[in-house]
Formats: sequence, C-alpha cells, structure tokens
Amino acid sequence: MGKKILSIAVLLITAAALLISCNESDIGVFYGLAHEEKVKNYALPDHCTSESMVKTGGYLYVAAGSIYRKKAEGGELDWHKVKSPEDYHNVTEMGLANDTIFILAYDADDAKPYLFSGTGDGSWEKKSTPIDGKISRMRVTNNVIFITDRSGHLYYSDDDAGSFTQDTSLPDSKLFSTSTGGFDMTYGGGSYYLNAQYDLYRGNPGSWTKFSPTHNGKIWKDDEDVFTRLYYDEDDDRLYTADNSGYIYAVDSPSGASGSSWVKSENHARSGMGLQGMIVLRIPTSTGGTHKVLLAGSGINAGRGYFEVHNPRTSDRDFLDPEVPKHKAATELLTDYYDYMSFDISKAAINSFFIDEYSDGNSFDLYAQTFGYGVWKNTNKGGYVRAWNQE
Amino acid sequence: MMKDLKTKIIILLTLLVFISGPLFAASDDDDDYDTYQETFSLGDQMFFINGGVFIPLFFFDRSLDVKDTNLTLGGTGSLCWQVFLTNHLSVGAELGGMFALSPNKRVLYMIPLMLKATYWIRFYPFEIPLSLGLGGNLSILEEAAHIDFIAKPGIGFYWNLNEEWAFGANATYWFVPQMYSGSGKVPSDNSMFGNFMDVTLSVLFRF
Repeated sequence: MGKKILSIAVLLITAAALLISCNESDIGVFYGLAHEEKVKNYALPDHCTSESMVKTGGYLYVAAGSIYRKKAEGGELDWHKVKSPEDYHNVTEMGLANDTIFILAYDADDAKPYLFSGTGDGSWEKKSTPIDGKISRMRVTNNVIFITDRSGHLYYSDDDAGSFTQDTSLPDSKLFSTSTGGFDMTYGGGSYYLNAQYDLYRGNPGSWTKFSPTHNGKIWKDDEDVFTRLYYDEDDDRLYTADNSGYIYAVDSPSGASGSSWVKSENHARSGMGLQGMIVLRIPTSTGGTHKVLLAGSGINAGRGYFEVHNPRTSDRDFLDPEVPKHKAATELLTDYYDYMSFDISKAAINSFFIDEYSDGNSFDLYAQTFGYGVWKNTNKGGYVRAWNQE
Repeated sequence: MMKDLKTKIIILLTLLVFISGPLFAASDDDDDYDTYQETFSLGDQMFFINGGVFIPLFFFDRSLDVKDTNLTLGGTGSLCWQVFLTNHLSVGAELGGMFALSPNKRVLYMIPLMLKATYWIRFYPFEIPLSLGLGGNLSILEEAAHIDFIAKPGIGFYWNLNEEWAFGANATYWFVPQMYSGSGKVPSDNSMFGNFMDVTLSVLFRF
C-alpha cells in the first residue's frame, strides 16, 4: 500500500511540474518580491485618465478629471486639488500659453465642453470660441491654442483665446475623427507640425502642406492605420511620429525635409500595439556621458506600458525599432522593476509623457499619464533612477 | 544470637523485597517501553496534521547577494502520511501550503508536494523526529506561477499521549531554488534562491 501511495505522489509531482511550469508574467516570482516596493500614493486618483500637464509659476498642473497641482522640481510630493470652474467638471485637457493655463471642462448639466483660462489659483474665465459646447480636442503649442470640433474642423488662436480663426487651409472633413483619435500638434525648428490622423502636415496655422512619411511615392503606412502622436526633439532637431500598428517614424531637420526623408522603423512594437505619447530622454551615465532613449507609450488597444528605443537614429531603420515593453528597462535606465502591483504601469496605456527638469540641470521627474491608471512618476537625480511610483 | 541473626536476615530480606520490588517493577516498565518502541515495524503508518506560522527569511541570487523577501509573516499547513520502514525510520509524502503578503498586499502562495523521510529519536514519552522532504513546489504570485524543486529539512518534538496519538511541534527550513533558464519570458537573471522556515504545531495519529 505504501509503495502504491509513494508512486502516486511521484506521479503527481511529475505531472504538476509538466503541466504548471508556466508563467504568465515576465518577472520571476521571487525576483518580483525581492524588488517590490510599497506603493506610495500622492493624492491623485489611482484610476484617473490624464493626458496633459503643464509647468508654470513653480508648480505642476495636471488635468485628471479635476485639476491638481504641486510644487515642481520635487518641492512637494502630494498633489492638491485646484478648484475647477464652478458648475463645470471633468477637466480633460490642459495647455499653457504665455503663462496662462487653458483647460477643457464639461458643463455639469449638459456635459458639453467649454474652454477656460486661468493662472492656476482656482479662478477661471470662460473663453468664447466658435465651437462652444462642441470642442473635441485641444492642443497648445508655442503659445498658439488649437481646438477641433467633432466634425474635424480646426480652429486656432494666437492671442490667448481672445479670438479663434477656422483653419481653412486643411480639408475640413474627417480630419480628426473622434472615434480613432490621432489629433496632435507640436512645434519645433520654426515650423508647426500637425497630425491629422491619416496625414501629417507642416507649416503654420492657416497655411499647411502635407508632410506625411512617403516611400516609393506612397504614404508609408497601411491605409487603415492612423498616425497617433508627434514629438519634436529639439536637441537633435528631429521629429517623431508613430502609428496605431506600432511603427515609429523619424525625420531629421524636419522644417526643410521632404516626406521621403522620413525613416520608418523596420519592426513594430510587439503584437503591433499602437503607440501613443513619446518623449526622448537623455539620462546621465556613470561614465559622465548621457544615454539617449525614446519612450513610446502603448495605446489604449494594448495597455502594455511603454516601449524603449535606445539611442534612436535615422541612419538605419533598425535603430528605430521599439523593443519589447520595457516597464523593466533592459539596461536599467529608468528603473529596476515594478511589475508588482495589481495595476501597474506595465499594464497601462500611456497617453503622454511629461518631463519636469530641475534647475540643477542634472535631474528630472518623468511623468507618465495613463488611460485609467492614473499618473506615474519616475525621478532621475544625477543618474540615480528610482522605480515608477503612482502619484 | 541465632535469633538475632534470623531477625536480622528477615529484616534484610524484607528490606531487599521493598527495595528490589520497585527495581523489578522499573525493570518491568523498561521492558514495556522497549516493547512499545519495538512496536513500530515495516508497514505501520501514521498521519500528521500540521499548522502554524510561516517565516520568510531571505532570498539570494546567483551572485549570492542576499535580498529581503519583503514578505510578512504568513500561515502554513500540511498533511503528511508516512509508513515505518524500521522502528526508527519512516517515509511518506507531504502536501503543504502557505501564504504570505507582499508590501502591496499581494499574496504569495506556495504549495509543496514532497517525498519525506523521518528518523525518530525516542525517550519515552517524547520523540524527536528529524526529517527531510524533497519534492516540487508551486509558487503563485498573482499571474506568475512557477514550479521549483524544494528541500525541507526539519526537526520536531512530540509527546505521546498513547500508542496512537501524539502532539508536538516542528521547525522546518524551506529551501526553494527558483531557476529560470531565460528561454521563456522570464530572463535568467531573475533566478533566486528562496529561504524560509515554518514553526508548526502538529497532531500525529498512528495506525
């Protein structure tokens, strides 16, 4: 009898080893525990959606349903709620023009969006636009405010929302479908760049020309794909964009380049996940140099944290390839580990990154704003990098 | 004179009887103990139920760098069946389980299934079992799971209530080398060696 039971035990152990030696995570069980840090919470809602953040007057402001602020450059850890416009709630977007904060907030009664301006002290002024109650998206870059309506029309103001002009230099329909997203705007090197989903444009408000990546005379993406976000890296004078199949595109000296000058990554992000917010970091190394890394947040269709492109270059398409999600950085540039929360940044879709550079020139706080998983921060002080922490 | 001698002999014999009585009685008891100890022979079985505290100790990696487990004290329990091969040696199998919490309240579960051998040191009514369990251990932490080898050396202290029932306590060391080859999603540098222990109370039933 004993022999029989022993045989059964051996069989059970063998079967278990064969059948359950799986690991759905990409982190070792004990390794994960050894590197786990207690999550601190700095007063932002853990499940808020956030896309925009600004820095002005020594404070950081974030739109995350409500408006929150704290002292910049690590001067304060906890965020404090700033009073929203009375009778308006759900602040979704935020931008900064001439030290004035502009927000989109929704009427508490009819849930229609309106534009407000303020200095961050809780007093807000409702601004009049041609599309009051119909504003879909807002971007503020180089002190120009751009807004779109749900029909895809673009309006802009270069006088702090004193007046808006409809931009008639663009096709006026289906430029910015609210269902597929993709509207973005940036400025650099003397030009504005506009992402209108299926095409990119370069120029100035009211005067745009197509600037989409082209290859062999055709736009260099699948027809059904849309461009998602734009990012201009001033130090390299390089413009980046990405699409919702996970490819990254880059062009040097974009203000004078042609569409065929774009370089497209050889490979896309894992599983073709769409990419969203991007940023280029230059992280001090122990040898006194800097390491350049492009971060590209995964889109809402994936929710896989962010991808890293180390030392991105346009000389070879391989140098733009997004790697596997690097919530654990391959070279430990950003953090050592954080797959230890039931919700963590590696599972989040990242709308935007925001960098708060310290006046010492050697430190920064990097913020990742997610879709439904709050805002996360990673502090880099003189090359010493901490793990991501939810704000 | 003779009467005195006879009286002295009677007194001496009487004393001897009184003195030797307990001695003989003790000797009889010793024989009983020996008989009791020799009761266990091939095929005799026993069943343990253990429960107690799980104590995380430390991890170390392949560079022998020691890491904190970051785990709280936990709970553990096990069921063990063994059969005697000789009076002092028993073998069997043990199925256990434990839980402990991470800093963010994630729950680590480990479920060891082992073959176990025990050597029994006896001084009635107490027994000291020295055991070694070897087998597989399933570690589960949320969506991560892994099967590893486990070795559990342990020592116990039992008091026998009677021939069937005994109660005691155990202290057991858990050594779990969690190795990753790097061929899967988890890189090989995630390999860690887990070191834990438990202290349990135990009920033993022999049959």
